[in-house]
Amino acid sequence: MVSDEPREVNRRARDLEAEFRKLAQTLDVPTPPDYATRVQERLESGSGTTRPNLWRPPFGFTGPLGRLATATIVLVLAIAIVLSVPATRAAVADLFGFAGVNVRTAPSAAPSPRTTLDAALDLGEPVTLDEARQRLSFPVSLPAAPGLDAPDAVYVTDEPGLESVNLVYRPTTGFPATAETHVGLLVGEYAGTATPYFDKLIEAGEPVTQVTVDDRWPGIYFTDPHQILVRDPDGLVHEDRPRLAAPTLVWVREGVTYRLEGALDMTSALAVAASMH
Amino acid sequence: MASEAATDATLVEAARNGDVASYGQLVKRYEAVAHRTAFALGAGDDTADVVQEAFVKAYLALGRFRVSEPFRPWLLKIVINETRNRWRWYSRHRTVPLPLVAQELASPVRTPEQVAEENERVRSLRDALAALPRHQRDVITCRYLLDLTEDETAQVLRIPNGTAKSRLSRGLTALQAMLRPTIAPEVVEAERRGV
Repeated sequence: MVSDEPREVNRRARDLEAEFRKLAQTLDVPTPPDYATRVQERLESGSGTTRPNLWRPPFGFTGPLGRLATATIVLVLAIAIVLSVPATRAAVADLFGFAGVNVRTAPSAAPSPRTTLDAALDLGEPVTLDEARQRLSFPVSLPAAPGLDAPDAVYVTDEPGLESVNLVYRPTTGFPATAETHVGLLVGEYAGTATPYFDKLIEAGEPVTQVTVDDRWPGIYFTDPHQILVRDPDGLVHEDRPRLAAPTLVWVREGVTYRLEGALDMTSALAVAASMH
Repeated sequence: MASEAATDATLVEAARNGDVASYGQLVKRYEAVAHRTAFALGAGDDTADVVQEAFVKAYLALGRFRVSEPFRPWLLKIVINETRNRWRWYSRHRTVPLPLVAQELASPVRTPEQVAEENERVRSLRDALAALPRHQRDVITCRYLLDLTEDETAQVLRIPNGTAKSRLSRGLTALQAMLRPTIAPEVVEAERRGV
């Protein structure tokens, strides 16, 4: 009996495969519109670029960061978020431009941050710090600021192009609860770099403050929550939303981009950033 | 196959030089599969927007397309990415409504009871698939509902071939468990949580 089991399992798997292939016929696909005409019209209308963009990621990590070379993403930071209006796809396209770099201000198009800290906050998969370190291709850093111990929760996302970790801290002395989410501090770390896009935000007239973390690393401080766009080696842009309705500091250090969200003024945020190791 | 690939490559070359009409031909060639892909992976009512946006982004990204490689999986990768971006605006873990309907397979040899039974089975399959974790569901959707090859599935979902294989196999095991309620719930749960 035991020796027959694998064969029986295989047979059942094959049956199930066949059933799912048959299921394909019941996929109730709505009638597609005339995409060719729509797309041509849009390209010919010249909204944005009208010729293929030959941009390639200008990065080639080598040496100690060689592991990142294949998984390198570029984080594109985009623009201020107004809290109450839900996003639509068309508006998002207008907001960021096709190539993800034509940043324009369109505050009414942004999604609101989530309001409670629970599984639905979409921080990723809950894991231990050790597990996060095993799963990610970049080293996870922790803030060593006074008042902060180990993170109270750790979440990873390692889907393609959006490799990141989120560290959540409960409110504590020096880290008051944020307005809606009652989180003390949220630290996000992403494999990739956003530096080339800082200029775009400034050019676009975004209310940002350029900063330097630890006297070395370029960053930007925003008083509003910000959407992050992630550009990977294929040039695909991955979008990640702000989680807290709180000021945000973003900086880039050695091929990793850090996002710190919390009810902190710029000086305090910079102090926490400088303590990351 | 070779001549079709050459034609794609020719159209891509022309499009790169700003020939929008050539790109229109490429769009025509792949719009059906792009539409079906976005819809099957959960774009729902946004499918038309998602696909149109993906085609525009693909046009602007043609400079990064390697003409020695097939166009279809490259395009579908962009379509799927666009679909996923749409999810993230709502909720990354939002339950994606699975767009399957029980089809009345009219046939003179089937009794109404048989048709009802088949429809019931379709519903069970659909519900089981919807209950899978997304990473397994995506692989099964690509392989069986979209009929992509193993290589294409890995490529469009941007995962290594081995990962696609193991997700497919774990997904199928989990589906089997869900579709056979005699198996203990904790086994089902363990399978579902498999990577």
